[in-house]
Amino acid sequence: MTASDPGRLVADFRRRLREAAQALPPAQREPLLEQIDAHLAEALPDGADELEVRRALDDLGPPELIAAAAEVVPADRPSVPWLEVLALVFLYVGGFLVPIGGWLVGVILLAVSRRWRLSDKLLGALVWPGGLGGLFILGLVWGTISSTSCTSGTAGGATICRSTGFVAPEWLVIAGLAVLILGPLAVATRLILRLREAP
Amino acid sequence: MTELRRGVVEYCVLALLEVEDRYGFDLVRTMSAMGGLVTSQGTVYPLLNRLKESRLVSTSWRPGTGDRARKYYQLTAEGSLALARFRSEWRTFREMVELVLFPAGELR
Repeated sequence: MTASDPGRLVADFRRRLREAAQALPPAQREPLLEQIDAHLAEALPDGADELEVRRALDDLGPPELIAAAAEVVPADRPSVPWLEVLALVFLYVGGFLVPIGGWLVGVILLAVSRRWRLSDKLLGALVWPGGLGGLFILGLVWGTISSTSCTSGTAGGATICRSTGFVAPEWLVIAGLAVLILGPLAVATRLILRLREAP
Repeated sequence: MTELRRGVVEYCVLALLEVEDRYGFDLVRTMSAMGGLVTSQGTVYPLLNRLKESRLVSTSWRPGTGDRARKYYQLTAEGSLALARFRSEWRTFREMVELVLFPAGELR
């Protein structure tokens, strides 16, 4: 085997690439080495002569350059998605500021965003209509309908409370509250995670 | 120029994958044939890996020639969205750059 033997040329190239890629995390290094091996297997026909091998290696470029390209951090960091941040604020807090209207602004911003998928938008709008502000208002309304009044008895000083309207069992109230509050929290988490995924 | 090329080449890869799924060597060879788009073929692979990390492309193994499987790259929904956004921004960007570089309108 001579220094210009085709097999030796490829082996040298792979050794240089492996050395140059040593500093890369394994999760980046291994796929890269595998890709270059696959590339050479496709580019070099069986029994390729020295000229063909040199041409294929020249086209690939210096191993050091390839490894350096794997270290590059994308120049443009994702900018703050202001529209989406505003959408989340209005969706979940807007209802407290302007009942219903604040939430509606959130829904409009949600609809025009290009970072969320349709499924995310539907979840954001439907869980729950009115947002947390809406839930607050719902709670007030329910409190008014199912009020509890207490009177102190004259004999023995006992206090008697009477509830009017629909009185739900305690477990149902707890489960309902959990669904009403955890639902929007889960959807908000999903929407935020989507933003972090998107470029 | 290198930074500019790198930023643009990413979207050229997405645009090629929008037409059809491709395996690495096929994609690299196609891009290499477009003179000036890539300086060396090997640097396309790290770029593909970054696109995969960003979930703009996904991969799958498919049968190739002989008993060797090929890793195919395909555009994801996120990749499609990113490409659409880049397309609209690119037009404005290109027009602005040309306006500055060629104020006398040599290109027109």
